[in-house]
Amino acid sequence: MNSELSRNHSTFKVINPFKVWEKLYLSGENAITQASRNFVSTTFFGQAAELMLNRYLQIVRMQSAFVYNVLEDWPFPTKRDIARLARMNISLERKVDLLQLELEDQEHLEQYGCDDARRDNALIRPETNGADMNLIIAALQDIASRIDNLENLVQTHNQILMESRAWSGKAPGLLGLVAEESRPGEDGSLDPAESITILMADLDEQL
Amino acid sequence: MYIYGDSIYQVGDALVRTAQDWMLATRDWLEVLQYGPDIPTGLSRREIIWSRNKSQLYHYLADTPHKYSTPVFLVYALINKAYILDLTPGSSLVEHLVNRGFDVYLLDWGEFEWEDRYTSFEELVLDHIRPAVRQAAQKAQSPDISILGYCMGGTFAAMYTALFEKPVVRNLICLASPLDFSNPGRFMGYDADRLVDTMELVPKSFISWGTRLLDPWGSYVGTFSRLWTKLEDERDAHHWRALYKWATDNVNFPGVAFREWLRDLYQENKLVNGEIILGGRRVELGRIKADLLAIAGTRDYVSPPYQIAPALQYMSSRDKTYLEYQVGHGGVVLGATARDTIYPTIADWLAERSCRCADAQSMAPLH
Repeated sequence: MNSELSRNHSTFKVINPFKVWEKLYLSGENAITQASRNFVSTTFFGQAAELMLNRYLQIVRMQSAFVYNVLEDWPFPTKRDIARLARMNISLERKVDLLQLELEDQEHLEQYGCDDARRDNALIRPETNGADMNLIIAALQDIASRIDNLENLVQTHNQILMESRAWSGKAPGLLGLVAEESRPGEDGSLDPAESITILMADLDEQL
Repeated sequence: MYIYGDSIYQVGDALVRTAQDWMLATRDWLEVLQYGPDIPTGLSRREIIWSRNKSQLYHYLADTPHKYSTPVFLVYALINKAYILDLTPGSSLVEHLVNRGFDVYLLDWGEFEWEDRYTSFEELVLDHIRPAVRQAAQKAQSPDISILGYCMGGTFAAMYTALFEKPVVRNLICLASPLDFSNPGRFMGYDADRLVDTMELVPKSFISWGTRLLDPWGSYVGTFSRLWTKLEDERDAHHWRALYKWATDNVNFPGVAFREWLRDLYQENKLVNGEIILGGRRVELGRIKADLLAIAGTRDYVSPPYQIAPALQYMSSRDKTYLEYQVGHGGVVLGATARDTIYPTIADWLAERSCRCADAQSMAPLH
């Protein structure tokens, strides 16, 4: 408020060149940033960068091949030699880790009767791909249709048995038939053994 | 824009003062750039509970009992260093999660050297992430775990989750993690084989050059003018320095992994096509059933939203959340938006989907 009053009552008002430049620069910078981002997205830039990269790689390759060939005969270890040593160290560490894991699993096995690692492996999902999945789905559909057929067949036979039992005054159905297997052919009902033979023949046909 | 005064002398004085302010700001600017002391980063209290080669698994220690028994496992990318997730106090995702009662673990890859040039995705996922996740779950005594991957770390986390069921990955968070490379963006058809066969271990200078080239003006000029503006406004440059330290603190990239990153993902989009095979097993995103949170920055030119959002359809998770914020790649984990909005969102999302400790008041921290 005070500053506004003082501004209103000021005699002199001069453009601040510093602020003008700052504002100009900052507003321009956003535009330049966007333009540079767009430029690096162009095919032209991509091709130019690839060209430069390939030339650079060519030089690096020649240089490292030359240095490696020279140093190979000298009695100094190269970085490849040192890396080989480090790699051996890493392999040793890995081996110790695996041993530790094995011991932990052994301990787990003794304590809980279950090997953690084996359980891990059992939980890893088996490798399947789209083609395998299609085969599995087709097989499942086939099994489902066969089960449907079997159910229909059992129902049909059950119906026949119930009708024949009803005719003779008893109606135990298929379950009853199995239970009464020990005393077949009483009071003129259908012979269970004969029914099972017919049933098995039908099942064979279905399967 | 204007200088006011009652006399020409007052106006002259004001002009001189502005010039002096500029000179001081420029002096401080040069001072920060040339002699600024190293900003301490990664200060949250922690212990190392597992290590292999150069990788280390940090367990962050809490002063208060944990509220949630499901541990949170953080995994970072292979570019730059993992302390971005725990940059400085007050600007740290790790600190926020620990303060919210989570048991937090962070896998730090360390610095790859010449002997690691043959390190592949397979080794990274099977020999590093897998045992580290197992160690974290064992330490937390939990049958399940939440995994949060930032940038490339999210891509690895998705691969791990698609392969392994134990410990159960209950929640998967992909922070600015590219997954679907149908549109590879600015990574064009460089010959990955030629590059890796020549360099073997891709040097950190090349990685730095490559990432800066994605936004040349912003990286080489804009970042320094932002610092100058901060100093001229007499604002603290502490966060700028911490972020600049991280942005320039690159690490070497193992050649084989670089080849897989560039060719298999950016050029051939093998991840969503289910063509990545690790340890003889195919990585299929459809096997991921964990609750999923994916976060993207609309100004992110490293992992743009179009490489994140479409990938969600390939995962079988029933609970999927996708969020976008008006930030760049670093802004997802750093800065005011991250601190005030993204950290709390992640913590709330995790809290709803993590097991609570049976009695948080009586349970001692698990360390």
